[in-house]
Amino acid sequence: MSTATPVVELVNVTRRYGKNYAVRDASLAIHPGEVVGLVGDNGAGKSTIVKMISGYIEPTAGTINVQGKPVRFGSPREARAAGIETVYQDLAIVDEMALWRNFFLGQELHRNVLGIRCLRVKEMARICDEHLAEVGLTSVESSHQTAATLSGGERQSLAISRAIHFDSQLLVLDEPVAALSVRETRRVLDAIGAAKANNLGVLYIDHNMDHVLPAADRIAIMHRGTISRVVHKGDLTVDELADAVAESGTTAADNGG
Amino acid sequence: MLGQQELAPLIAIVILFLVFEFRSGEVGFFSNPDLMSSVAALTSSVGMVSLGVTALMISGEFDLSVSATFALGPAIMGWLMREWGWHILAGLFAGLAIVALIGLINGLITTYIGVPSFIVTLGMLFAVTSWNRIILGGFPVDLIEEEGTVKKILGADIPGSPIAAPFAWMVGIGIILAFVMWRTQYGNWTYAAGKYGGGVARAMGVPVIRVKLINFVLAAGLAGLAGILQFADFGSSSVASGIDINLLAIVAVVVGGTSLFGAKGTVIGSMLGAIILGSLKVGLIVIKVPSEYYLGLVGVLLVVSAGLNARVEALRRGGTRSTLFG
Repeated sequence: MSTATPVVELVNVTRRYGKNYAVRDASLAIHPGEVVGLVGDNGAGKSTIVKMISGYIEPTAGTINVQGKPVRFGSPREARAAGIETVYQDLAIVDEMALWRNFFLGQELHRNVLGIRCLRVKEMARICDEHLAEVGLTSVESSHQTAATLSGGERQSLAISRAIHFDSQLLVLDEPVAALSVRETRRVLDAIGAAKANNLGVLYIDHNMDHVLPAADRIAIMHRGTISRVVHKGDLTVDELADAVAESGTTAADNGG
Repeated sequence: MLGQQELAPLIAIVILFLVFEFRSGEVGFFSNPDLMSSVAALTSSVGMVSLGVTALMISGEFDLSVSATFALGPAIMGWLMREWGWHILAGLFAGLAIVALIGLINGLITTYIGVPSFIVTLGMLFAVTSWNRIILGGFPVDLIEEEGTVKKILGADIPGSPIAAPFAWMVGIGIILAFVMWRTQYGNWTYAAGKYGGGVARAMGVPVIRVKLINFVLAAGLAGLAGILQFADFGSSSVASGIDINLLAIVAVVVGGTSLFGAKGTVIGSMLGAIILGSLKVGLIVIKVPSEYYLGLVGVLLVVSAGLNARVEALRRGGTRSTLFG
């Protein structure tokens, strides 16, 4: 797996605010079909890394490579065009809008009528229905219902199925199972499995190692702006993993969160 | 294009019309062309203003300055024609260009500097009102061109009906805008821009600032156009034209089912809301309710509609767990 070109690679990336380093000299590669967990306490720099990868902010030093080529994202739109789909815990879905509208938001299928981009509704609804079934959203009756009718896990699944459809290279998940029930969590893990099967790289961010463990192939632990350790899940026993969890917890506590 | 949201205002209109028709004796209500002419005239101004305000509110922003831009459009137009001898069409487009610029300034201050649109447009309301007074100097301005073709197209009665042209303008532009909101990419983006301050839309690559700017320009532009249409209909305009229309438009929009929190609403609903306001004003007179009661009823109508919207929304969500913010 490590011989393939990473879908996204951070090379010595630094993000500084004045004299404060939010992220310092971080390097991390995510390969196709690989789930990489990124854990760390609040303020460790996880969300700064997400913001750089998804185009909200630019690194002050270092490079981000997509498919081996260095990129600079001026906006989330550019990151998305490069195949990076970020699913935020609370910014994924517009409740009031129909499922197909959410699914295609920003990339609507349309035909030009007198220069006006008219929506191809039937086609979008059909494609949306197919993909919802793919990630196991069988409880959805029609893509014309509003997203308010979905549960928390179903929303995340909808957002993940969207990433699969649009041939994303990298799926970035920001605490996708926070506040979800066990059953709902399993639903999201199934959807992550579907993304992996479609050869997407997945970067899975969570402050809780327990959430990331079942899904991740590798886990990067962040501490005070640096990636302090990368754990290959297969290389460690359950006990050693537990130690790694404890270690990340301790360091976080030492620094007062 | 007609959905659940338009059903409630539509039923309200039917009930109002029936009550007014049967309680008005020989005068009648919808059977009386003169009264329908008045309803249409009252509806068209508030309705036209509410169209742009609806799109803007769906995208998550307010415009309180529309009553001032309503008066500014005809003030610029009439002043240019009177003082500089401009042709009516040149005056018309100059008036529209200036009000569109006002909308753009509202939008730029809101989106780039980050002042809430409520505050920006409240400030703009005072500024433009002041400017109107400076231009007109406290006197009404008359539309000099008395019976030209342009004036007829803008403001004369529709041939063979008691309805003045502004009503047809409102319905025409309303249907076009309703289609845009319902079935175009721009409409989709406008709804999405209204959620979480545009956060979801931005994450999905929607140019949220551009979408909001266009809606600010649309709200101000349609308010100015509404003022100009009334100018063409009445033949004169003053600083007092359009007074309170900013608030009445919000009433029409809310009665029509649009959410104050963005991402939800329809343009057709707002037009129906404006028709309710117009028929209420005329109908109360017809059934001999003192006109002092009108504003009170508008207030009750506003709060009751908003309450119904909130309850319907709560019922709809009742069956699902909301774990997003858990």
